[in-house]
Amino acid sequence: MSAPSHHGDHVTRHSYRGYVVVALILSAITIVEVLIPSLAALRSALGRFGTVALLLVLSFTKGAGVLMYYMHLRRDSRLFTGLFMFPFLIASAIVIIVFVFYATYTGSTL
Amino acid sequence: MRPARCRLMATTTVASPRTFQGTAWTWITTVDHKRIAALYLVTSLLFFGLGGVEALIMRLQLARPENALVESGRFAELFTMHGTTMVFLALMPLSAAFFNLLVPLMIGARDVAFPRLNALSYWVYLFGGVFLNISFLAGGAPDAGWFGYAPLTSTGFAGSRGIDFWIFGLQILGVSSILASINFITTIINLRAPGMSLRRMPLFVWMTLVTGFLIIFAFPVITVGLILLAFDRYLGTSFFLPAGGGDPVLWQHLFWVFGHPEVYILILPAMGIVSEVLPTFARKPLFGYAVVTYSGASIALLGFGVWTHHMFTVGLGPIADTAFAASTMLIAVPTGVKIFNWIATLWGGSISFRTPLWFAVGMVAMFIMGGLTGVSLGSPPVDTQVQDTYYVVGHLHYVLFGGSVLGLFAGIYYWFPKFTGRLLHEGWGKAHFVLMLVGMNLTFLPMHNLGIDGMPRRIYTYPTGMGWDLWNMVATVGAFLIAFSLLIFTINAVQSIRRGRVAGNDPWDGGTLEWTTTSPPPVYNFAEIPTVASVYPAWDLKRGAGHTCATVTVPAYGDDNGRTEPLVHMPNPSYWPIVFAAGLVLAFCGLVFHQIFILVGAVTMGVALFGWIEEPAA
Amino acid sequence: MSAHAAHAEHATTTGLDHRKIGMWAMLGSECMFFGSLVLVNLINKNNLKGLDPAHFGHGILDLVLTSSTTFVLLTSSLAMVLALAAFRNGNKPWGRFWLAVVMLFGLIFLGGQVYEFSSFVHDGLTPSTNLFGASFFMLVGFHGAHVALGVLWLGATFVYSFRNYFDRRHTWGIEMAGLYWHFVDLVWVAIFTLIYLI
Repeated sequence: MSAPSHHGDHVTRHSYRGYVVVALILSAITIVEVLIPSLAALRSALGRFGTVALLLVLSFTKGAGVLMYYMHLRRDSRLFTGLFMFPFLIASAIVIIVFVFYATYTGSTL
Repeated sequence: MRPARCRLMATTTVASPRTFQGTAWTWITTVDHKRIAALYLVTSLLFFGLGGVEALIMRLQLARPENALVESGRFAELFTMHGTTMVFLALMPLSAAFFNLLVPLMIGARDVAFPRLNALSYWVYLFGGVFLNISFLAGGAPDAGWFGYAPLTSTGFAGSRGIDFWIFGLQILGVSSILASINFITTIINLRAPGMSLRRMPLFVWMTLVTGFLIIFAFPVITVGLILLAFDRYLGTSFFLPAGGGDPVLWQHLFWVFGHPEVYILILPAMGIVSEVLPTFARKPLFGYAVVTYSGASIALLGFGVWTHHMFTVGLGPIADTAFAASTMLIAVPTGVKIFNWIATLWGGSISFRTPLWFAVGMVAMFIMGGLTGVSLGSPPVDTQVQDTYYVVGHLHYVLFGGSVLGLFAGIYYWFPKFTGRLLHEGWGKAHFVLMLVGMNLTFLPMHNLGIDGMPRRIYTYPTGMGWDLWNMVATVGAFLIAFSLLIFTINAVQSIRRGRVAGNDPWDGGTLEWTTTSPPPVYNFAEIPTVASVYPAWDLKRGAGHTCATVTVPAYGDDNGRTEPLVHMPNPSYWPIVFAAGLVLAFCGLVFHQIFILVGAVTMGVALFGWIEEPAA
Repeated sequence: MSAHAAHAEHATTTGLDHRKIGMWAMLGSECMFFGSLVLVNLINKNNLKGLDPAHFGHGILDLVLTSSTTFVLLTSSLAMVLALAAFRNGNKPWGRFWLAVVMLFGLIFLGGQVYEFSSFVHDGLTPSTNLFGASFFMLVGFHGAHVALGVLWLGATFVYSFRNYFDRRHTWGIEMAGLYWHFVDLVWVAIFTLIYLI
């Protein structure tokens, strides 16, 4: 009886360097994010909408980094990307839609 | 390219010795998808009966105006438990019975991806169903409707434990469903026979896959809603309570973001069954396989975008109402597409008028009616008029009873021979169908009138002189006719298991893989995993040009050849699933009864978890 | 979970591990779970029952503390993926070292959360004070519970690593724990941005 098959690439040596580089980039982005609330000049230049957009973009980038490099979505089968992105998009859509409901009729704001 | 030789399992004696026989212990420790299916089937039919009794009592109370059979509080428990039982304890598990029965066989696998997890899902469901119904004996069943709107569910209005049983019961059942869906999704993605691309999968398997995704993406939302509700009731939060700044409408959003996909969870498996039954009895392939598949997937996707049509009367405003009316109308399109494809499947076919076909055609017809009233409800002005009236009750029963139940019975009649080796009696089956169809229409058709005439839902009685008396009486008669038809079915089933006509491997000349193995299938399903070249591999095998079909007798294990080990190594049975399930439900019991059970339950789960991990797998 | 032995003669359709598919499906499901909790928070951001935002709303959040715990969690993710790499290289001692780092940092993160929660309660913000408080405690609390569960899972993994469960070809257990841990970090990225920064 044959042993369960596994993929060949586990035999290659896995380097730590790439992961550390990603970690440094994620940390740098986090530092920028953390500074934004205290940079009043930047915030007034961007306006509320711009600030929120900037923060969202930064956090999406961080998230993508974790997904692609730490969770290996970049290398792995696209099935996994689909299994995750599909509910992520549905969740995001529902959050946005219901938030808009509340924003319009109760005046909730971000 | 495989050599042109096919292997069909020889017709053995009626029951392959080991598949369904054995002591109670073999049932408790089983991880075999076929046995788990049998457990789901019997349990869900029993709960269906329970839900039916609850309905009959309500119908007796409503048969006449100002009746005094059931008082209002008890009536509220009845309609709440009828809905909750039918949705979560009857229809969903009945679908799960079919997923278990058929998916591995239809894809040419020996079992599901996670057999012990499969068993766990069943035991959690059983214990959860018992937990929910214990409420009747422990101070009262839940009584705030199957959808539990806030603030009726707050301790201010519903101080007894009934709602708690509802909250935690649904959480338990959610665990069962989510785990089962992860199992089936993985199974379908990863255990298909060679040659079975996604485009060659039976439609029923497609619907199982789509339903699985609906479950794992919809249930977490109600999980959150139920947690917030529990916190409101016991930890002083006010998520849904206006006095504390909360909003009852938030509950509605959370519930219906789950609730609408839930109704598709309830109907898609039955649609999958119909898509299998019609081709067999029309003796031609499903018309427009690809389109039917895409439609099923679109219904699921769009299903996440229509929930607010349950909230047209909440006052979200014309823009929200319009947007969701549009998406609701849109979702009718893929549904309609499926219906036309089913009709086209029958058109020009060589029809064999057997019982499964009757139920399948009945399903299509009744579902059309329910679908049409659904479209009418998708119009906010119409909905505003009939919201919370019997019109909606009529609609939902046409799609759920006429659609899901008739479809599931089509499946029962169709696959009963595969799993018992015997056919259900045709004459009694047709009698069941006719009585059920007439009963169903007598019960639910008048409800549309009643609703338009203004009769609200969820009232325990009504005054004379409203003009509702006649139709309520008719509906009650119809309900008892349904019950009578189910009695006929039960007698048929019990008799046929022992004394029905022997079915053989393939009584209907079906096209999918389950018909190529014995009835019932051996524990290991297939002697040899087949290679598949089309959507109907069994038809290919039987009719394919250039294939010589040599039947091969494959012994079950432990047989007269002196073979004592199985032909194929199957996963070992295990008692950890039932132990874990008991621990889980015990822990939830601790939330309603004494807190010590939380600890006992948690420890039990921990022990079971490590037992499970340590157990030599297979 | 049952091994592949039962399916030895039938390779998987995709060539992928069942458990990995199941895990990603589970993580997708969890997206909807946390998405709902995030929604409740966004709606109730300014729902303070009339109380002063500086002390009973957004102003109570300590960005310095939380930025530190965010770095801790991010670093723990690095350690997690290094642990996986080490095990895959056959280097068990380093694999266990990195696992221990993940657990330690997870516990530090949790310590930070406990401190944060207790200081809020001390200052008068509890789940029953207003909807901002209720929503915050729910979301961050459930996230913390997921972290705690992850630490326990890693602890078990750590112990099992001494029992020859993970050689260089069979690291799926580490990988599963890693996917879970990274997901928990991912959720924190979202929480940190949406609740604390915005």
